[in-house]
Amino acid sequence: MRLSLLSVSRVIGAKRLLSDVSMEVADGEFCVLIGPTGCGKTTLLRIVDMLDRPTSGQVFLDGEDCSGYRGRARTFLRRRMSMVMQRPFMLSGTVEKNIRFGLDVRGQDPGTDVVARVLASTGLEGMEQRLAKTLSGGEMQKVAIARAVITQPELLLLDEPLNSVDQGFRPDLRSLIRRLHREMGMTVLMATHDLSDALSLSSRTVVLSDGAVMQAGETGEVFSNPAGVFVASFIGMKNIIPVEFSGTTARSGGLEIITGEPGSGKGYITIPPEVIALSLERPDSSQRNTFQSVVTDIEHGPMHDDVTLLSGGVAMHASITRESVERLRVGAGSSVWISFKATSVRILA
Amino acid sequence: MTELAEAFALALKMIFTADPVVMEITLRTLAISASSTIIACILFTPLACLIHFTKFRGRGALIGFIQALYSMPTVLAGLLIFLVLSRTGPLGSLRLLFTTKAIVIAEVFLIAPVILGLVISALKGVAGEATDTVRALGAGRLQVAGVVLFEARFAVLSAFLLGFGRAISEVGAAMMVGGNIAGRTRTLTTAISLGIGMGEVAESIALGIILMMLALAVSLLVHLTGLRRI
Repeated sequence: MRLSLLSVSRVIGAKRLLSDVSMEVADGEFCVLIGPTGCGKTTLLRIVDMLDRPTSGQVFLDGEDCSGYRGRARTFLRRRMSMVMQRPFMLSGTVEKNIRFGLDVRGQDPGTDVVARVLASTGLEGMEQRLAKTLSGGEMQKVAIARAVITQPELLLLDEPLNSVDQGFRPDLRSLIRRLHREMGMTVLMATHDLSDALSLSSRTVVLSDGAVMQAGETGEVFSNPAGVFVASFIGMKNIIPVEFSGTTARSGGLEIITGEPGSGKGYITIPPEVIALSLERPDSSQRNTFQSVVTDIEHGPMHDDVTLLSGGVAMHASITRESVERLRVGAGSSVWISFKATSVRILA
Repeated sequence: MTELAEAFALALKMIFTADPVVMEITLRTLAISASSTIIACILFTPLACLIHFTKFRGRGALIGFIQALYSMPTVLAGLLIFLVLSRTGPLGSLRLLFTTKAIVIAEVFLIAPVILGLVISALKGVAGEATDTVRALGAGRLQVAGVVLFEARFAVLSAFLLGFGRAISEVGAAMMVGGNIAGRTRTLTTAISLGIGMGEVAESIALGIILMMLALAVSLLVHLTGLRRI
């Protein structure tokens, strides 16, 4: 199912939950909506599933405007989709009763083999007679997913399905979602605030903030070329520095940073922490950006240490291996030199 | 004190020997209360669903008004139904006054707010996610109402039992529209009331014990249904 949103807004009182959202999801595509809590992800999913109405704008399913649908026609259109809520609600009764529910309300008898196949594909075999309300959070979410896919929806809407699940259970569920999408080929729109969900599952990513689309595009493109400071910061980029450009020179505080591409006026650059090299002596290298700095803090990580530095009044982070930190014998207050290539500096749009 | 003890012993004897008068009043009371509760449940559970699932202006005020009617004086309910059913009233031609049907009508009127209000509260007690989940899985309006009602079944059952409890313990309305006619409209509460007035203490105590046991049974059922969650 192809999904299009055209200038969709939802306003409740003085609160603008969605603001002029336009986006497209192609048939069979896995699209992830990412953004911080309260940015409008759930509202958007609820509007697509016709649980809520937009204040303005249109939603198209396979090119057909949904806004004219009312009553039973609306229910029948909704039956082409399924939605998994953030907090899975289990109906009273057994796991099997829950899984069959979508087919029961459609008046379809799935037969025991269909139920058994869904139970097997979602890793719930042997649990069909257990009371659904007694399951763990992860198991409930599996039941919710099984219950949503048994009707073979053309569009599957997932509202932060991994949010209410223990950390240890998430890879399992993530791979279940990936496999179901691959095997069933339905269009998936999934809301999450976990970047790893977007990276590992989706081919398309839409970044939302305060109800507005900040960036939409192929997932790789969004993560490698964030459009603006918000997206860069949200996807975890560090060293986002406000600068004033003069050709390939970006000035900030007491620093003059050479960039690979020229910029103009005021803007932002970002320097990936892993491209910054540390040395005790001024490095004799071809790298065009070399600055004397002071270490202000070192935070140990599992593989790399995050070294916080102050260079010309600008705070920066460098990601250095533990061995390098120990070899250099630096700590808070140490004076060091940092260097990085001009081509490593990204200019944010 | 001796008189009271004797009356108490006589009352127990009437219960254990299934005194025909006591049994007749008890069965009539049960039939009236059960009928009025069943009718009220059939009429007002769908209405409660309609009010719960429909968003309209003044819905909050309406629910507040319904809840305010929980404490409607039974005599007032009796008076209203009396006026409606009396010879000159709008339904006077039906000649229902001083029949058990009139008591049933009065009790339905009396327990309607209790059942309506408590069923709405029971539906409200089901997590909002339930309604959204069921709708998102493709259920139509009636199917959603059915599922949410089923999820709230223990609270709904408690509402029905409380309605029954109010009906069985009611005296004012039954007296006014039923007339407390021996062998025809006399109920446990009206019989106790009359019995004390006429000095028939033993019969009143026997009927009082039965009424108390029925009220306790209802309370116990409400408590037990309240304990059920899954």
